[in-house]
Amino acid sequence: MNTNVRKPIVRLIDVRKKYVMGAHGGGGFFGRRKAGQNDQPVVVNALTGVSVDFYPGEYIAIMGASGSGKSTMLNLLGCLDRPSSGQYILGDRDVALLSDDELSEVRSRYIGFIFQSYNLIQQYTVTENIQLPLTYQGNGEITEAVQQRTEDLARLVGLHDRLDHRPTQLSGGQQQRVAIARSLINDPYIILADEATGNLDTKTSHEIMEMIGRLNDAGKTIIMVTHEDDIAENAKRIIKMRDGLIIEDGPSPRWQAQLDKERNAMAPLAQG
Amino acid sequence: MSRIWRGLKLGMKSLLLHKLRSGLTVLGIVFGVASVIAMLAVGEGSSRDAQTRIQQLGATNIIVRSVKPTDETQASGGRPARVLNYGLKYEDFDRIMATVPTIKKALPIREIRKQIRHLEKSIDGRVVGTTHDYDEFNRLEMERGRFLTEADNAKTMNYAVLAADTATTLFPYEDPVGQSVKLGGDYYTVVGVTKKRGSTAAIGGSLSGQEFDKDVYIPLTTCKMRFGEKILNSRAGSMEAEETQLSQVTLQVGTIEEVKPTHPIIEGAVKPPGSQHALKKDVDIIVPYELLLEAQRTARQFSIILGTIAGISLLVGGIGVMNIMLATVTERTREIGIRRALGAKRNDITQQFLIETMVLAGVGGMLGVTLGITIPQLIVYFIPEQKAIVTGSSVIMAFGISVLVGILAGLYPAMRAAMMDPIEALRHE
Repeated sequence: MNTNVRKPIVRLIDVRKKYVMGAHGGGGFFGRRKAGQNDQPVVVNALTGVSVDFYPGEYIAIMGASGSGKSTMLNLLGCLDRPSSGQYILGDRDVALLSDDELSEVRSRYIGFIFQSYNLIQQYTVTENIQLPLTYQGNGEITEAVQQRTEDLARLVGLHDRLDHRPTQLSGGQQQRVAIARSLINDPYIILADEATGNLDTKTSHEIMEMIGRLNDAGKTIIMVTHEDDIAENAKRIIKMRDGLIIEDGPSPRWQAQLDKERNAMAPLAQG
Repeated sequence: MSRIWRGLKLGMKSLLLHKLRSGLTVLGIVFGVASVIAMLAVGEGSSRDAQTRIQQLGATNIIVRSVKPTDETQASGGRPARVLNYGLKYEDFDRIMATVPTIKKALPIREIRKQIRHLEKSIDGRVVGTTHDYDEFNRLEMERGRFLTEADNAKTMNYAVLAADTATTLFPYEDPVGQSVKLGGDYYTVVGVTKKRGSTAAIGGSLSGQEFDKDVYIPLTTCKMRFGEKILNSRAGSMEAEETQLSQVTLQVGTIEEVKPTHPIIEGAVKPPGSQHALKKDVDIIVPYELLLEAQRTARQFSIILGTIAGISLLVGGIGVMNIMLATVTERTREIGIRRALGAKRNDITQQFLIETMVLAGVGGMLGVTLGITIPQLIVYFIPEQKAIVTGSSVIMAFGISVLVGILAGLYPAMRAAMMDPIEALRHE
């Protein structure tokens, strides 16, 4: 179980990200700048040099207060944004160098997203929502095999009898399960969960976390962002951030305990 | 192919999510397209109508016609009007024939209102003294018998050809050919009956409409001999005499190109400045070809005005589409963010919104074409004298413009959607 011999699936090397507020045309054509911000752009250093490796099959929780840089980190990991400097190696290519279209392609092929507010498309059925990432790959054709896979995933999340429902006809927990199925349709390198249980009650949260746990057991690499300790507890590795830096990185207490137990169980053999 | 089909299907879904809004947007395009088609149809109908009316008169013809002078011009003629002497004379006709080289055929006509009788039956009709060319000039066809011949005129025969209504009124049960009719004090032998022919319509103020079906045609020479030149009208206790020789001369030139140069020559021959005709204004020269050109010009202006008005309504429809698409893009910012996060490229987003606008414009265009074809039929149904012709080119043009308007109106909103930053868009509430 020594992770160091395996090849990391995600490598961040001295990644920095700074935003220039004010001069940054966030609103596009009719920018939403306020008067006064024009004169003195404020530079925000969201990440100030992050280096970290993630390995296939890991289950990571990124924690931190707001403003710690965890959202920026997630945006970078999800290829929604590029680092200002440093390298981000996903699989075997440097994502930091890709164009906007190539980033889109990477997102549709290698990354699965689970959002806090589910983010399903309201006018689409469950089936269409699950298949959405595939429609932006290649020629976007929905083959028989894709249809089969959609049904299998729907069964996995327990919604195979609601394929033709629309999001408004589903509960929050059900919508989040559709989102989980959607994040799996492209068989991604990593699944990113952003406060996936933030809008759910405790019982449903528990169900969702259990489902994510099972995905990890099946070998999926999961990176989640949360500020709740008991949610982070589910992960095997916890990274704590503050002021754009990683301040703590190690196994979660629960996983540590399990590791210890295994080691103790092995100890007599090692001595033997 | 399947990708575009899928895009269309999903685009429809998004549009159907807001049925009322999409419906109202489509309505703008529908009315725009329908009005373009309908207005052009009305324009085209009026234009063709005027053209056929004028072509019935013959495009290579020039009509010289006697007109009864008004009181004012009689006074300036300086002669008390006991016997009103006006109009074309035989000498005018001879002068025209002698001076105008381009004339191929000429048709002198003398018209007199008279009662036509057979036994106890009678009809108030028009006696037309003319030559054998009359049927050809006026596109008359024979029902039975024959029309007048050159010989009939040469021999001043008492022959008559009856028009359709005259024949059926006077001879409801028998074959009129070989029978006789009484005009004034004389009897004429019927040699032929013409087929029914619709009346020619009036053209503006220059030529009144002509009815043919209550006519009787006799040789011009016979007419001249039997009826003379003076006609007495008794009117409310007073008697009035008119003296005319010819009612009308229809002149035909060889080709349309010759019409224009011939007109002033005839003008010079009939009413040179200072002549009686020029002073009394008792002769009119009508050139159907020039009227035709005039009518075409007017029709074109009419079509341009109608088309412009309709085009503006189509433009307004397009602005409606753009407005709605801008609102839709703003409203669906989050959806755009989701799609971008899940791998949609900027082009995919542009394409998606363009497909939606084109579906709106396309559906609007198709409904508009249907409505645009229906409206002219309703117009014709309720206003029978108005003609409306839907041309294929106007349908294609209106539909094409609607799709073009759709693309133009959708392009900016679609590009605006595509340029959104996915992170910002995802954060949008």
